[in-house]
Amino acid sequence: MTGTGLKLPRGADELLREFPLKEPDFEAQAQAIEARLQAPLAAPLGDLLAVPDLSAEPGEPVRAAASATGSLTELARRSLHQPTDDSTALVKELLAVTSQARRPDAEMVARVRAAGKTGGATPLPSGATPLPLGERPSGVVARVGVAAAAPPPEPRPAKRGLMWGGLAGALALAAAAVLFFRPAAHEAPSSAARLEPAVATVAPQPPEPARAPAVVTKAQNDGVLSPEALAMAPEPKSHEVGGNGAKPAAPLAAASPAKARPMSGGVPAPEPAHADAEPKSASAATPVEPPLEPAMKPAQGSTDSLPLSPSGGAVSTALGAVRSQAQACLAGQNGAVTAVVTFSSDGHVTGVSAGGPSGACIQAALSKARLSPFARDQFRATTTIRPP
Amino acid sequence: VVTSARQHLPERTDRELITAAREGDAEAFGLLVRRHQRRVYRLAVHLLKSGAEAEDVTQDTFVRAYGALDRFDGRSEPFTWIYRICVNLSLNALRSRKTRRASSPDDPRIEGLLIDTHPAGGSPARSSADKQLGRALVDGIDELSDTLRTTLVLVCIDGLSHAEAGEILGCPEGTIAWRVHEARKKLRGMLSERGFDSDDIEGKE
Repeated sequence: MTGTGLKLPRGADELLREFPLKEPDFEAQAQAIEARLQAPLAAPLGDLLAVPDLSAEPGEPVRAAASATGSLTELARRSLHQPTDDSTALVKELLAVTSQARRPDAEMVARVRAAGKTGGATPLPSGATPLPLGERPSGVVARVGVAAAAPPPEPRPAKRGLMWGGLAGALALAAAAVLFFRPAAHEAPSSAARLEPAVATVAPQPPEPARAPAVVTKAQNDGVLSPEALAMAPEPKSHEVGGNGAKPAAPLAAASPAKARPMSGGVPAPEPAHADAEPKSASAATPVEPPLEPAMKPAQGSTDSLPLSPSGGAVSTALGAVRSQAQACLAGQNGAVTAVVTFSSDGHVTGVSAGGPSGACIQAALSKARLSPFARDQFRATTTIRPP
Repeated sequence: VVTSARQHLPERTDRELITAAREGDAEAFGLLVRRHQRRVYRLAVHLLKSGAEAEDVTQDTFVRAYGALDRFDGRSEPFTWIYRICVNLSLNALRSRKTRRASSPDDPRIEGLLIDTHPAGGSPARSSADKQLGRALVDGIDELSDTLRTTLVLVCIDGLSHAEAGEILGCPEGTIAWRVHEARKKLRGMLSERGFDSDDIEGKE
């Protein structure tokens, strides 16, 4: 017998194993059975070989299917707890996992070979079609833009060193192959799209925003503010905005349709130096000191005068203005609802994520929040709406 | 002591007996009956709480199994296959009862407790304590749901492994382990309500 775990009073287990029963005459019973076997069997077996119909106990564990999604989810979760300055490495880690999850199919292999390249390229998902030549991007991506928008895996620029010098045709084929794969990376849904909603956030890309969610990094987590936690925060001071703050990733931001769709926008740039902030655990009942103000730093290479991100106080004020309307949605209910509000750089709400039966009502209420313009492509804030 | 009859009749395995019975060897099936009928009966008793019904189910189990020998695909052990038939028959009998009764007048467990099974010279106090504990155990087992009771009987009383019990009940070993833990937790609570804690048992000795 395998281990029984919980200890019973002394003697109980022994008694269970050797329970004294008044037993019948088994030999007589066996003979009776043998006699019955001689007669034609009238009763069919029916479903007696089926699994016994025993109802599951309350709280009985259910087998969870282990999948790659689970591991990605766990990876994303871990990423939320990494130090801020590891954000780039985490992005790379997640993208590496994502790219490894892809498998080349026969069609892709054939197309690669037809293009004159036999391997080493990022697999092109089936069904992906290249952009027209005039619309193909150059393949050169600004690092700031990548950090700010954190797009799905981008193909590397063409390694022209791999082309044999002097063979113009081969060079053209290689360039075509690189450009051929670039749109595929945009269209390929990232494996991180399967992350749990509470962990993953959506960051559409220009070609197909709805199908290209980006991964969550610590940097993005830091960009998620909890206004409740910042309720006591003073208004932002002028020094919080760097004089050289500029909108990162101008090409991507310009092409981004984030402002036209809810829950859109790129992953914000790493926002360092407020590692002590715990936006997930903060609540209205436990206000904490404003963690963001001293942490604001201008983005690398930025030149604009706009603040990189809205201050905690500004976010709290903006959401506080519409909180009562959102709370009205929960009238008569008991549970609180956590909503994630996404602001675009012009201060308008581009998306609200709120679950539950009152989710739509809360979304409508929080969509009215307004912030002053800021430099980042978007800004995300988490707020908890409690019943009035 | 509940011991497997297979240990006493090692000459032919259960599978060999099944194969022989399929080929018309009635004696082989008789050996299989004698090998497993005691355990099947004890299983039925704890599920049905009735000696008469348990005897009927035991007979039915083997008769039905004999009639379905050609459906034994060999993927499982013969005794788990037989046990599953017994569990299904017992559950059918339980559910066909019009009312759920706490105990039966011919409950072999109660009758068994009345028989002094301890050897002469054993402590009368210990024997009395064991009987009280046995009665409390019977009541506790009967209070469990069909699911927990069936699992507990298979694992803790019949001594099957979690894997074997899982094969019979069609669920993972983890589920069996959880059910056993849950059943024992409830059983311990019921025993505790009756004053059966470890210290109490020792004190009565």
